[in-house]
Amino acid sequence: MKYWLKDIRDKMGDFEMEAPDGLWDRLALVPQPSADAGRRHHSKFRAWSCSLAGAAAVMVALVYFNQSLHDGINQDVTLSDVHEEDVRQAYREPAAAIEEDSSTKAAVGTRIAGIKVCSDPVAPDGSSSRESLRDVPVQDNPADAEICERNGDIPDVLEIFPDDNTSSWLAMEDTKTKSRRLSLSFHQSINAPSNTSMSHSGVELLATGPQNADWNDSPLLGMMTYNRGSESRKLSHRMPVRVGVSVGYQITDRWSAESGITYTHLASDIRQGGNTGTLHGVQRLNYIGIPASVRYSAYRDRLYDVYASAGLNLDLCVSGRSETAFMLNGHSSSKIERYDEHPLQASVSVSAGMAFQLTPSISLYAEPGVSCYFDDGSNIQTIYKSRPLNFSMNAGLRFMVGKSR
Amino acid sequence: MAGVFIRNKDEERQILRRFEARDSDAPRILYEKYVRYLTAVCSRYVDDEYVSDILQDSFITIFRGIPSFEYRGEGSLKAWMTRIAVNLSLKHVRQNSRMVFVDLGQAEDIDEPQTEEIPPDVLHGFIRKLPDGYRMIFNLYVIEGRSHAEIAQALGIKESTSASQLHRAKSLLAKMIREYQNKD
Repeated sequence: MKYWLKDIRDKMGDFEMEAPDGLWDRLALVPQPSADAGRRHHSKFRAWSCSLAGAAAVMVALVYFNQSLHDGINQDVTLSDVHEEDVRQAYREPAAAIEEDSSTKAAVGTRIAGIKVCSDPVAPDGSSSRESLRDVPVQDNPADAEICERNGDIPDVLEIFPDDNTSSWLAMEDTKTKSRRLSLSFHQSINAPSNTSMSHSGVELLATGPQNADWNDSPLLGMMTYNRGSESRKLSHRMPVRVGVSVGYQITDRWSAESGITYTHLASDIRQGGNTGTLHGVQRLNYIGIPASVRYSAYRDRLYDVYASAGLNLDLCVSGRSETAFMLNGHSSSKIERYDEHPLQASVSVSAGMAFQLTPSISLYAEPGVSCYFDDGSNIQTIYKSRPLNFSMNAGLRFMVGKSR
Repeated sequence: MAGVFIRNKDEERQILRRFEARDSDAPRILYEKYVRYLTAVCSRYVDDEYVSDILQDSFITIFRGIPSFEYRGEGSLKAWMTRIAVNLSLKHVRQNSRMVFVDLGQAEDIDEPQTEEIPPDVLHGFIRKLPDGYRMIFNLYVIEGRSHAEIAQALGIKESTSASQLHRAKSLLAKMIREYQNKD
């Protein structure tokens, strides 16, 4: 059945209206087949019915309270979104100083076996109260009754419809998402473009000194002076590592938004060789970022959720430094250089995803996507400068934490 | 995170146990739990002035039938009660109004509307606005999940008529929904 019809059916399945006035009183006049012998005293009956009404009200309130907690103020704290890359492969050859491949081949990032734990507004709970209902057998189904006299004649009971073998009610998972749900997730990701090295010439970060400077004080300057033009500095970028916390907000049944805070670590190996000396070291950059994304659920049922998402990331380099060691004419020294620049790295991404519900609280998802990193306008060389366009594949497990229905 | 969890089936079971124990409060509890829902069900089928009578007959039938009702899992009690209310409503409609069914043949495709934002009471109102024949078939097929064969037998029409009337009903409903959305 089409989605809109299912939606209407589900809503009508719960919809209630105010009962007609005095209906119960009219019913109470009709002898009940299961009534005890003798009737209670009227006043005692009143007292009991009041307390029952109160109990029923409390029950209803509890159900709605449960629903409102589920819907409105749910702040499920969820576990990490852990994307584990095949680290071994990358770290086996971190120092392959390859000339920058200037082809337009986009790097491929892979995130495998991610584990994302978040709450989900649709919590298909296998034990939900809205499971498939079974048929009522014919003999239990006094489906018809002659209109009985108001003074309480017991009506004849006739069948109108034959026993149907189809399940009349498909109890769908609750897809009403007027709920304003907050979800919290922690995530970690490692993005692995394939060709991660680049080389560049120049000494952006280091000043040159006068030619007769004491090279012992600054062997790097000497090396640069001697080696200028002979061989350029090469950076091999390692895979970025990103961890973060994100909060999700369900706007409508289909649309949700997510934001959060991420920390990203970019590390690159530095290599430079020349006639008289070599330099090697590591550049480390730390970013604090804010991601923002929206997600559109194109199709969702009990088992599957197919969605698309688009996002914007802003990462600020809060600190960066390079640690390098030099060998020059038998002298060696090391240097730690802290960067003054704090570039802002912006990127956009789009992805499509599908989640499959394994159990009521665990789903498996895959999200291939593309992200594009903009020039941050700085001199610092990062993996994103060499590979601004990335394909990525997110795959993971999503754990539902929180109230189920 | 812990939370309150109330399952309907436990409530249904509890109510049925009360009936088994001949607890004279059981009818009232059952009534309080389902009367508002059944009111909404009946009012999808019949005009307001008849809802009260049909509900009364429904509850009488229900109370009479409960001793032999076999619980078949969560929601089965609600489904059974719904069936009673629907059948009584249908009987009333057949007896009291003339529904004309015309097999109109193929109709145009329906543009599937977006209903997520529409509140249930508005949708309920749209269904009530459908002409009698369309409303019956829409209710029986889409909401109650009956087949065209069952509907045809219940209403004394052909299955193909039922199918084409359903299509018309859906088309009309979709039109109402679109008009409602365009007003916003």
